[in-house]
Amino acid sequence: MMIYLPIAEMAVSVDVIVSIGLVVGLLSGIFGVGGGFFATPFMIFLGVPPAVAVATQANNLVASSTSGTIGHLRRGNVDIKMGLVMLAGGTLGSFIGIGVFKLLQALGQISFTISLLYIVLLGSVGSLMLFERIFSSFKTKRMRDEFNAFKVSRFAQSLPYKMRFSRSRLYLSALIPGGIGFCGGILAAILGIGGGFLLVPAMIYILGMSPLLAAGTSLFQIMFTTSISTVMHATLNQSVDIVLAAILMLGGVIGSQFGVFIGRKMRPDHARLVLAVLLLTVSIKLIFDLFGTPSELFSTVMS
Amino acid sequence: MMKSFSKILFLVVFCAFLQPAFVHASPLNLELVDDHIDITVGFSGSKLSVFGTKDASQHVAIIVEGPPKNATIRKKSQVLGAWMNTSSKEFKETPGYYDYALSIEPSEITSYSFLLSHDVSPQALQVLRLEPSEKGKSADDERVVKRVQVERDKHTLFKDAFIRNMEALHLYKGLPQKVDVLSPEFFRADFMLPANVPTGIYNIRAIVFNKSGVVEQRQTVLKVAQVGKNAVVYSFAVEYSFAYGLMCVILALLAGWGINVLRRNN
Repeated sequence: MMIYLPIAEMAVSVDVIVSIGLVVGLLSGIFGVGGGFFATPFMIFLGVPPAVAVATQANNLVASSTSGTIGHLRRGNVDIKMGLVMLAGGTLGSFIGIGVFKLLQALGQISFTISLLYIVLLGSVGSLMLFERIFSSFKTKRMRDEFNAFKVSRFAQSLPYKMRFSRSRLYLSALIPGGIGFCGGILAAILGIGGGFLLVPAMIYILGMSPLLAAGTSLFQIMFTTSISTVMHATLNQSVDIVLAAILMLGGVIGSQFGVFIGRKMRPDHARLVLAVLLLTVSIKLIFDLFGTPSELFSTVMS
Repeated sequence: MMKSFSKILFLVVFCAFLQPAFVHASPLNLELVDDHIDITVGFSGSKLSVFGTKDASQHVAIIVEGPPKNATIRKKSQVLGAWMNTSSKEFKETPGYYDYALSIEPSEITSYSFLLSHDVSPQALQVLRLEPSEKGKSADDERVVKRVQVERDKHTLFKDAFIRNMEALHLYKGLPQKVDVLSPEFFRADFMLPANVPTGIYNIRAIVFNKSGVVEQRQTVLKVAQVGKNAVVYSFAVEYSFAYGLMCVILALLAGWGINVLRRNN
């Protein structure tokens, strides 16, 4: 069945969009990631204009991060103070990110930038997870300590605006979580992702938070940054397609139920290994697309 | 649709026989079965039927042009191994949609070269023509000649690419449709508008011609617009964009909460 999207101004197959939603829901149910890295490029591949794909995906991430946040809040896995500090940086970052998005679009480099950022981000996070998984079996403790070197470095100690985060049992400059949030906000606005797959490792390895607390807190702040991003995309670019978002959410709701079920049966370290392989696969596919000779060298944008 | 078309056709035929004087006074008539195409939730493309009357001895060309848009064509080249857009060209006010139909064979168009100045075929579109930029300068200057040649080559490259891109999107048709000549005076042509047609006012022109040139022209308009729920969503998103954005966020928050409730109940 085809359905005409009022904002994207094109017809898409409902089945295909529901399937994308299903896969995203599965990913979020099993791994706790937003799945933007899968949904956004796929929608662009279907012919949805990049601006609409990114903005609509931001809106969808509001749904998945809200459901995740509620769960984590209930289990006390959210450092609200830390989340708010990150959010301050994230808000500033998404404003800048939307500006950068519009600029790159005018320059005709938005697709290239999106691909390149995905390759770098998915590739590095994927490899980090994969290697950590391989090494963790015999040197878990040392690995953690090495990565936490930043926290105790002279530079990190010298930063102003020191704050106590009692939930995370941390005392550090607000600029560090604020900066992480800022980077996440920029990427969220440009790529249409929540950025959880970046924020969580950053919070574990740079801030030294526990994995569960990092996951809960990042979802908490992603819920707000994606909301801000959605409203801004809607106001500045009129690019949020509520019909597309609703169909994706439908698939997402169903997919996440299955995902949670599968996730419970899977060993956590196996799940992380599968996610690492998945991220690397997407990254490698994008490398081939970017470096392989395209069948058509010219592209047209009508405005 | 077919039924209403036959009815109208019958009426036209009937009137034409009834009032031969009227037909003779103005041999070229152009009508649309529907003067608007409604884009609803289930829209997956639509047929546009054009029919009319003409002098029996003449040929006819019908051109369908979508609302004018600015086209930016970009060319990729390799930078450090990666393919990225490196050069671009803009065509202003190009039709957002283009299709045409001929009562002659497509191969015969070469013997009617004057049609090229009437936007018949995408290649002949006036707006895609190269603007002479070196006007007034001496054409003898070798460097100017060379520069003009380079510019002309680039223009041709981008123009062909533009038409190719638009054809791939089914928004331009390189080959003409067939005008059905139902009787020597009556003609009809069908155009298939794809699901991704741009919205706006379309221009439909009929050009009647013979060996010596264009005899007569007529034009009419077609409105392609979103209607019903789609139109409501679209206008709300454009006019009250902030409220629309908030609404999208609230929908997502509710969905997120719903997912959580479902998950807990299982």
